[in-house]
Amino acid sequence: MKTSKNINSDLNLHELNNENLKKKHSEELGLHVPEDYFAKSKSEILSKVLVKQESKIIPMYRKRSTWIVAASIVLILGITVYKPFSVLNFNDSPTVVVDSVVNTSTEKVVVTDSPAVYSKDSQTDVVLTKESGSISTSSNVKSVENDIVVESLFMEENEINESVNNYMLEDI
Amino acid sequence: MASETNFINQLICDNQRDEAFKKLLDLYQERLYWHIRKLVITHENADDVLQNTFIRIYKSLPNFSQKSALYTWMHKIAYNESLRFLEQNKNKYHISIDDVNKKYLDNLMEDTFFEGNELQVKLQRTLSELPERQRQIFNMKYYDDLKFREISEILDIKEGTLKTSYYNTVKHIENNILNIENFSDKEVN
Repeated sequence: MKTSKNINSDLNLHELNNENLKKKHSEELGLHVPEDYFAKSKSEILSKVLVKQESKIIPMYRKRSTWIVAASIVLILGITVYKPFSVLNFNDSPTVVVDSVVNTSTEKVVVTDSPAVYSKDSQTDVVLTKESGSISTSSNVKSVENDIVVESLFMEENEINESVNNYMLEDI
Repeated sequence: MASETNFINQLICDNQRDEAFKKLLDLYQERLYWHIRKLVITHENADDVLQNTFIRIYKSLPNFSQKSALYTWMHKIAYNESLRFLEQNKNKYHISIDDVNKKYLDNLMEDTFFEGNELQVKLQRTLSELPERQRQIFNMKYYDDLKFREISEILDIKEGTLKTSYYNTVKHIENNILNIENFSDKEVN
């Protein structure tokens, strides 16, 4: 078994023995230490050092990278959810609104039945109708019928009578 | 020297660090205690500084550059911790690096772990009359048994200056103690 002195010489350290050191200080300088002080002190130091090591907490605020990652995530989410510079697109609008636009434009096409009458706005409407036409192609005929009915609400009664008579006469 | 390098590697290595640190305490705790005790005077203060010193050593081990010997490096940490303690507590304990000479003996006498006889008190009085740096050099050489080269590294003073200072101090102490003893002998006769 290696004694303290052997370890010291192994490590090329001082050869002064701890006993001699204690003796020298107490006999020449009158300095003393409490009994078992060094053993107690050793365990105290170890407990402090090891506890500190075990409970080593790295606060998040000290890690710069954490803040950068967190800020990036917030920024990406923010841009995804909220688009401050985006223009409102009719396609993004709820279906009801699209339907009404489609109906309105169809109405214009059907009622006026003449491209020359199209205003700039109505052209936009037609484009929209064409674009959304792919979505509502199957119900095109039905919507035209509906449009006639709706349009009839805004017609004079004598005009309706006249057109009904014409259709009925043609049918007969 | 190879063994010291191995030992330092153990202290730096995460797996072996705790075991090596226990060995380090066994080897150096007492020596550093006595070094600190002579600087901060009372046992209570020395105990505080010793703990702070080893905590600092433990934390600083990964950064130990091995430019000096492990023992010298630790001694330097202990020395700096003692000076820091004195500076921080100058109001509380009425001692600082500057007026440590004036209060040296008073604080020593107040320490419950000082039980000096007449000759020991005389030696302490003679030491207290020395300039602070001269006393530190004497203590490190005579009581801590450090080599001049090591003291030079710790205090950052040239070896030649240290030697001169040490031999002057020894002469001064011898003269003082002898004078006191001669004076006492004359009084008895």
